[in-house]
Amino acid sequence: MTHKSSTLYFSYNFVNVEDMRKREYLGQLELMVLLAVMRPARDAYGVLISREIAEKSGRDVALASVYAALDRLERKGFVISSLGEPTAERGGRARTYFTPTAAGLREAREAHGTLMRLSSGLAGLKGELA
Amino acid sequence: MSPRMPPRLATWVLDHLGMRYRNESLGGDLFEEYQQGRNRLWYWRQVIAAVVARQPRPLKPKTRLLFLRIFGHILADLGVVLLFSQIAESEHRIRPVDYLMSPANIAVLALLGLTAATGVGLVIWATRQGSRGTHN
Repeated sequence: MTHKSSTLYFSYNFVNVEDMRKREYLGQLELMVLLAVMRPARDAYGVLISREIAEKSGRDVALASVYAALDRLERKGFVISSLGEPTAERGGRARTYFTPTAAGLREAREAHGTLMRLSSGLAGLKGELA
Repeated sequence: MSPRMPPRLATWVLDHLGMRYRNESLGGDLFEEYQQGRNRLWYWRQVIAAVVARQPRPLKPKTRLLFLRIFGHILADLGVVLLFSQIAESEHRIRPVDYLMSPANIAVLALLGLTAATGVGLVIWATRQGSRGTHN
């Protein structure tokens, strides 16, 4: 490798590392919450999101953990929230509705694609090992 | 029909020590679920999860530096005071020089000196960082 090309190679790697630092990756719970936010036809809120996760994953996730994940997703720009009206059936407290952003949809699509590619053809996932 | 009221104390804990993010909506969600037949134990578990999930408010850089300076001062003072008291301790011994020069004592003195130096270094570093922040 010549000096010029090695410098280029180094710069390319450096840019890749910088991209990795800037990029926000999703944790497992964050991805589950983001997918659950995408699921309802309209107006996803805490109870619906937590029920969706419990139904599809079989895990009973604490509502506080769902809100903590939603907080991180909102700070990353993957969801936006809006406050509804307080109602008597909720003890006079308002609902917060969540909607995925374009960046959130793109991130969910990419994460899903990556998982599909990584898991395709893995014998262990079909119980063919052991 | 009047709603089933969740445990009062748990609701108070949630309101005062719950999450910083959307705590009111979380409380409403818990109330809604409680109306659907969840029990008191479930409600308490959810409230405890909210208290645990509460994130500490991040300190401002200035406050963080101030805390570091105070910590540095404490470390330096503690190191110096213990260092001198360790040296003074030798006066009560029959052979003060032997006691002072013993490997165990030298190790203790070195450790205390290092503690004091770390404290001083921390104070200097935090002060410099603070003044750099003011100039920028």
